[in-house]
Amino acid sequence: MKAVCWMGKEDMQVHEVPEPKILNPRDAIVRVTTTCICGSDLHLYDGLVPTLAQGDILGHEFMGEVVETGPGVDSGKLKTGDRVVVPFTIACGGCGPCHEELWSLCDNSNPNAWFVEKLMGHSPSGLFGYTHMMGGYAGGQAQYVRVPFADVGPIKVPQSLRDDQVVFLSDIFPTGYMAAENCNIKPGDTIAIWGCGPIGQFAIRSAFMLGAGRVIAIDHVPERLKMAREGGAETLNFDDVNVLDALREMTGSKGPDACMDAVGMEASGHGIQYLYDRVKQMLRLTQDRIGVLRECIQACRKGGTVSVPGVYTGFDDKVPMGAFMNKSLTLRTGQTHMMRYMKPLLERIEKGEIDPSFVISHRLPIEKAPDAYRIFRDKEDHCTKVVLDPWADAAAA
Amino acid sequence: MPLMLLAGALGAYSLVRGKPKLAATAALGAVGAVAMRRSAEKAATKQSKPNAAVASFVIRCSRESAYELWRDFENLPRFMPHLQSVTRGREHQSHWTVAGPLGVHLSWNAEIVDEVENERISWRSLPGSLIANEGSIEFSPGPNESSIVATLRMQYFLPGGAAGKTFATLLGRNPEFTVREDLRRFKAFLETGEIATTAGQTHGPRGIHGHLQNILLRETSNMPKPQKTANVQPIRRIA
Repeated sequence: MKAVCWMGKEDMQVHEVPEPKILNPRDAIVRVTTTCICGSDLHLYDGLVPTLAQGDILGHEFMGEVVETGPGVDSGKLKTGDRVVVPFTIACGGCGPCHEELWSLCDNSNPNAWFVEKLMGHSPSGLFGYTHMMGGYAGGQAQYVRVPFADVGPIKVPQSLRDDQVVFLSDIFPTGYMAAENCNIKPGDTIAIWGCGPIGQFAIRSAFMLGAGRVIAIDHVPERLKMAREGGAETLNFDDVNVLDALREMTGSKGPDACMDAVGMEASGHGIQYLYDRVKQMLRLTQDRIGVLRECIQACRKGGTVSVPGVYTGFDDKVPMGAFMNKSLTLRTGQTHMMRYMKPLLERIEKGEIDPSFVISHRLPIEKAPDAYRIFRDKEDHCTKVVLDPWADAAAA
Repeated sequence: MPLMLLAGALGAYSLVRGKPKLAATAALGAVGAVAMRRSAEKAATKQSKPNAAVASFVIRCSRESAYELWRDFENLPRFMPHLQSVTRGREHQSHWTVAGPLGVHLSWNAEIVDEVENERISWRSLPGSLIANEGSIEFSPGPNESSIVATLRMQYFLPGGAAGKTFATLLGRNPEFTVREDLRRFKAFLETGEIATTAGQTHGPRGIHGHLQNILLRETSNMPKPQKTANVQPIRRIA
């Protein structure tokens, strides 16, 4: 089968690889009908996340049809022929964190937990296609995927909804929604969101669903700012204005009630602090550029909340802990606890409250994935979200 | 401690990115930090016997099911992959076989020394065994009604008492690592019925870099083998 493999920094290649097999009794094999490139895949593309091996298959946003199930899969929950969306986190359903609905913290789904414990103290759950630290599972930018604990994660979706409309239940819609939930929104609150990529876009719409009065979105790509305005947000272009000053002005010096970092470890920026982060990251003295996190802490009102859906992987310095502590802030973060949100958000899509396909800018065959990664990272060609078809004939596209 | 973590992360990172000088510096830093930590640990002994490897985990299950799974020693190889087999003998005796270096199989007989139902099992190799081994598993109440804490202690000896090193030599692993991972697999077995693995999954062309990465993360040897899939239906293409 065809699969998108990481062969080195900025080197994605589509290879013909063996089809996946059932390895454990609770596995299923899914034939992928639609898969996407995530913003967090770009950190892998840029070679900034450790423990990627040459040859790893990437991709954690995918959906398709179940073609095979292992003997341990509960057939009341999942059987061959079901059309499913698969969450990017893998959870066993039997451990303490799974029972507490902390699905992205599963104790048992990361075979390399021993390694991550050394770095983080404890291991989060395994993820599809996201380095060996996160389990080393083969990802979904391929024609078939092996899905572990198949009766826990995947949800069935109705034939009446197109792939485009539901595939984002695999990651970005629940992530944006949980990020908005993590803002502790009270009715009428003002929320500031850094980053108008797909996560930011879903966070804007989710914030309004959860009762926010005002959403201020920050980015510098014109079409993404326009998409944010279409979602009801007021926008700031950080190339044109000083964001901290502008937020102060817009909120009567109080500051937003919550600030969301929907950017993560590859933050753009200006000035000395950006240069500092950039140089240190190039020298591998730090893993992340945390300029946006710093701004969130500075801008947030006293007693407010900082919500961090943005992905970070390492040990970072120059975090303004003084401001964080003295302003009595709360930080809420984490990989998305997918299984909590997938069904409720599917219901919202079925009712017509939102059509997630608005974020898509490019639909490409899987052979074009190497170019697509570059286009997405460099935001060329007005790119906001790339959706791949693993079965399209490249010549016909 | 942070120094060791940083050096470790940096070392791992630079290894896979092919930057040998950086790796060497990081390795030196890591070694220094580890040496400091080890001497601090020796000063504060945390186990009752010297050199016994200990691990404990919270497991979401009843003490009864944990006890039942462990008490039948024939189950042990399912989550302790360094054991080739354990067969029940008469009464409280059992026969253990472990795969040593170069494919040599080493065996000994063991007996249960002490057991309290749903609480504790201790076992010991019979006097005169080539590989002397003792161990115990304890199940105590956990942080809430639905969980327990399982604590595993294991120790291997050569005649003459070169403890711990034997185990590591036999199996190429640090005893603390092995005991901890064995108990982690026991927990996975109880909570999910299987042990998560990626051994045998599909991937693209690996190259030297990819193979090195697998070795670094121990994804090649001593992983539990994929479980029997004899009952799986063949792939039916729904085109």
